[in-house]
Amino acid sequence: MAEEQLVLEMTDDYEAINEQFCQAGMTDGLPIVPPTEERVERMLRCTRRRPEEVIAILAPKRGVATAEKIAINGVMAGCRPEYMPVLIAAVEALGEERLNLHGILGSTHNCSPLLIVNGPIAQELDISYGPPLTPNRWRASAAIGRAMMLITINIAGVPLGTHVDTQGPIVRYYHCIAENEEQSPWEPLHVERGFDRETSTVTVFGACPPQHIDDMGAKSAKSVLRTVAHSMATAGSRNSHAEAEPLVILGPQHAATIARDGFSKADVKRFLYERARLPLAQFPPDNLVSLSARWRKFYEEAGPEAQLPCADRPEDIAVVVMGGSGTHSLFVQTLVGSRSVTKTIL
Amino acid sequence: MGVPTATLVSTAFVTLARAQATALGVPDLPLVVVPHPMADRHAPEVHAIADRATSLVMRALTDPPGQLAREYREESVRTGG
Repeated sequence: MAEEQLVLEMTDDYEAINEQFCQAGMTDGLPIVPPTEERVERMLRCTRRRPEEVIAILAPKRGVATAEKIAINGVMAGCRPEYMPVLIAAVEALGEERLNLHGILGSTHNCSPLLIVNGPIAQELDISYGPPLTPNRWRASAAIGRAMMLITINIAGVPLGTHVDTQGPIVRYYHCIAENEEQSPWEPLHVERGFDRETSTVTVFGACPPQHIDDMGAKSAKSVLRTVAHSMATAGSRNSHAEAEPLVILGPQHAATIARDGFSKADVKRFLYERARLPLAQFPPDNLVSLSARWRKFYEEAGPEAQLPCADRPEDIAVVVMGGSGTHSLFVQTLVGSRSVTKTIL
Repeated sequence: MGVPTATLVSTAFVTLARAQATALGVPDLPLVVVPHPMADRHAPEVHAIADRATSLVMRALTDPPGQLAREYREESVRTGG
């Protein structure tokens, strides 16, 4: 489909410009930074990609995400020019079929793209990974997360047709974090996936709002992990129904308690695969029909004591360490039929 | 002209379906629209909806494409899709 270029002529008035963008449905409701040619040009100087270069085709509109359009949305979101390489890599990930951006945006399932940045760029850009935060440390997380939202609205999206999450506004903000590699006792996410530790990457998940997990008494790996497991295996989790990639974000204190008992990251996944299970008797009975299509051969003769895992395989459970002090972790359900995608940030 | 296709969508997804059909190069794709939501309906209600939709599905599959395209273009305009 031919892409049309639209140059907007506006009066040089901040309020009027914002009103015009908002009325056109091109914002998230907050004021934007007007994407003037000069600002967009500054963003584009931070990538080797040519302005007209197609980075990805984004479902569901099959929108053509050129470097220039990504830069425009980045400016609008408040990104500094040096965030541009993260945006480019993240949009490459959005375009991968296995992520299922169509499902993320066009389904009522409460989820949106969650970016997890690894490698040296996380500290260079000051992306929030955990240690005590000063206000400006939120800047990269807030602006990159918001840029993703504007890109999904303006390039991938369909006004009134996408972003139909049932409880939308709770789902979409601040969706860019970095792993706390300094305080993680294990190999970080990108190393686990075959990248060099010094390579910077962004991994995109089709993520639901996180569920807070509190355990301030645990003194052993199994104690922490039992709490995490019970928080994951719940009747309302779609990850108990079907193929997905549940994400566990461990706070560094919980991670340290677990690692102190000799648990590797693979051990954590194995433990959660074995223990984060929903008894069949607790599975919502009217939903058994959806379960049977997928799992019939395993459960057709099962009694109510049978246990349903939260993922197909231990390796499908993603584990990252993020956050600062505190005995808290998060469980993030992910969209059914969506697999996370990791891309190098160049 | 390919395989005759009837696309069913619930009212909540009409805008998305129309936009996607357009993006995929078939802006006049016949859409058979059923009421939203479907999830909590009991079987007799679902059967009643299916009965009402059947004739529309039949038309989408068998009417001349030109005729359908005209109607759905107008529908598209009427719903603002």
